[in-house]
Amino acid sequence: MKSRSTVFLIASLVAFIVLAFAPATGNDYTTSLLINLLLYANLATAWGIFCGTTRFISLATVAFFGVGCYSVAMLAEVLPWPLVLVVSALLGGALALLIGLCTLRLSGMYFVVFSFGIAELIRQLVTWYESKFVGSVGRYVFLETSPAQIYWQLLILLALLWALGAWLSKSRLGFALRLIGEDESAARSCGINTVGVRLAVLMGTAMFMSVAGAIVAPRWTYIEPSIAFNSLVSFQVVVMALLGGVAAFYGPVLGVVPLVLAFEVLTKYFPDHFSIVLGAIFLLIVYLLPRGLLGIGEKLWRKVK
Amino acid sequence: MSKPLLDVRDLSRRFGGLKAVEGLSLEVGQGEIVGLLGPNGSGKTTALNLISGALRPDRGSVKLDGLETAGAPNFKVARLGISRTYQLVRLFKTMTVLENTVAGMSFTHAHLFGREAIPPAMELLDRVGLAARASHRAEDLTYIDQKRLELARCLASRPRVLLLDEWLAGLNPKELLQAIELVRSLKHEGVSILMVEHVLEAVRSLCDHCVVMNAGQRIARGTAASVLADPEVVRAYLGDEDA
Repeated sequence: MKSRSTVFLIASLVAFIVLAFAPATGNDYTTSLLINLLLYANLATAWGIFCGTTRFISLATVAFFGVGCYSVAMLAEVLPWPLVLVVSALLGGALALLIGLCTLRLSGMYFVVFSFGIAELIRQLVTWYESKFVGSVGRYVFLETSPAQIYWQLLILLALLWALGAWLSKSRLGFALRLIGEDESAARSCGINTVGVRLAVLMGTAMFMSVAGAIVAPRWTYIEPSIAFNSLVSFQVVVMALLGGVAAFYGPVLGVVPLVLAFEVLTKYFPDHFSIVLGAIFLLIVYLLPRGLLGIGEKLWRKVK
Repeated sequence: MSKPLLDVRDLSRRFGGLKAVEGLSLEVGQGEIVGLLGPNGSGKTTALNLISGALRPDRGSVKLDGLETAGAPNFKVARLGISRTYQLVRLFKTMTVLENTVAGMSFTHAHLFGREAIPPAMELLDRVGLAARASHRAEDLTYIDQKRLELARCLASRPRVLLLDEWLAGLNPKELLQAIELVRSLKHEGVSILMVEHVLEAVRSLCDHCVVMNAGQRIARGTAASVLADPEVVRAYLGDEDA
C-alpha cells in the first residue's frame, strides 16, 4: 500500500516536471490548447474534491471563476499581480462562504438548482453594476503576460491542488468529507462538525477556481459578464469530472483530457450544435459510465488481480 | 441516591401545534440501563433526538454529569459522550465495516485515525461478532449485522451514555439472546444506557427502571414489572375498553 502511494507521488512529480517544459517545445497553438487543458484540470479537480466526496453537485463553478476574472479586470492596473491573485482567492472564498451558509439545509436537487441560480444572479448583478455605474458592459484587460506564463501559473496552481487532494485523501478532514457524503446525520452523530467541514472545503476549492479565473483572464483582453460567467463552463466541468470519476481526487483529470480535446474539435467543426453534443455526451456518461473512467479502471484492475 | 449521570428535566418540544415531547424528566445513573417505553407516536424517538442534540428543545435541560448539553449541536453532544443508534440503521453504506467503526473514534475522544485506529476498531468488531467481515461494504451486511455495526461505531466513541433506539427490534430469538447479553456486558463496563424498546422480554431482563411516555408526556416510572402492570400504561397501549 505504501509503495503504491509513493509510486503515485513520484509519477505525479515527474508528470508536473515534464509538463513544465511543454511551452518551450510546442508552438502557440499547442500552448493555448494546454492552457485550456490545465484550466479545466484545475476547475474539475477542485470541483471533484468538494462535490465528488460530499455529493453536492454544484453548478456555481463559473461564479467563482468569473469572480477571479473580474478581480483582474478591476484591479490589475492598481495592484501588483500576486496581490491580485490573493484578492481573487479571498473574494472567491467569501462568495463560497455566502453560498455555503445559504445552502446549509439544502441537498440533492435543491442544492444544484440553487448553485446554478446564484451563478446566474451574480452574472446579472455584474451586468447591472457595469451598465449602471461604469457605463459599459465590457472591460479591457491589458496585461503584459505571455501564454507560457499563464500556462506555468496554471500548472503551479494544479500542483497545489494536487497536493491538497493527496493530503485530503489521507487526512481526517478528507475522511470526514467522505462520511458526510455517505450520511450527513450519521456523520454528525460521530462528532463531525459537518457544517464547518462543508464550509471549509467549499471555500478552499472555490478559492482555487477563482485564482484559475484570475490567471486566465489576461488571455481574453476583453471580458464581459457573458464571457466570464458563462454557465456552460459549470456544466462542462461537471461532465468532465463525472467522465473521469470522482471517487478519487485524481479522477476528474482523466475526463478533462478527452473532453477538452473533443470540445476543441466540436467547436471547430460543429460550432452550432455544440450544446446538443455536450448534452448527448452527458447522457452517455451517466448511463454508461456511472462511476467514470476511474470505475472502469478499477473493474479492470480487479479482473487482472 | 448519588447524582445521576444523565439528568433530563422538563424537556419539551413542539412541532407546530403538536406537543411531541412535553415536560419529560428522567434520570440515568452511572452504569444503569433505563428503558423508555410507550406506544407508537408517544415521542420516544423525539426525546432521543432532543437528548442527542439532533433536535433543539423548546424548553428544559439535559445534563451530562452536571454539564448542560440541551441546545448544543449533535456533534458536540457526541464529543461529550452521548452516542446513539438509529431506529432505521444509518451506516456509511459504501464504506467498509472497518471504516465505519473507525468513523466512531476519529472525531471524538482520542481522534484515533489511520493505522493506529485499526487495532482498537478490530477489537470492537470482534466483540460484536463482525471481525471476519471487516473489509466488506457496510451495505452488503445483513440487517442484524448492520445493527451490530452501528453499535460498534457507537462504542468506538467510548460513550458515557448510549442511546439505543429499538436496537433489539427485528431479531430472531437466538439473536435476541445474544444481543441482550451484549447490552448487559456494556452495563458491566459502566456504560449507561437509555433504550427505547418494544421487546418486553429484553426490557424485563435488562432495565433497572423504566419510564413510560404517552402523547409526549411521562405517565409512569418504576421497575419494568411495576410500570407494565400500571393501569394507565395498559390504557395507553390498549385503549380504554381493555383496561
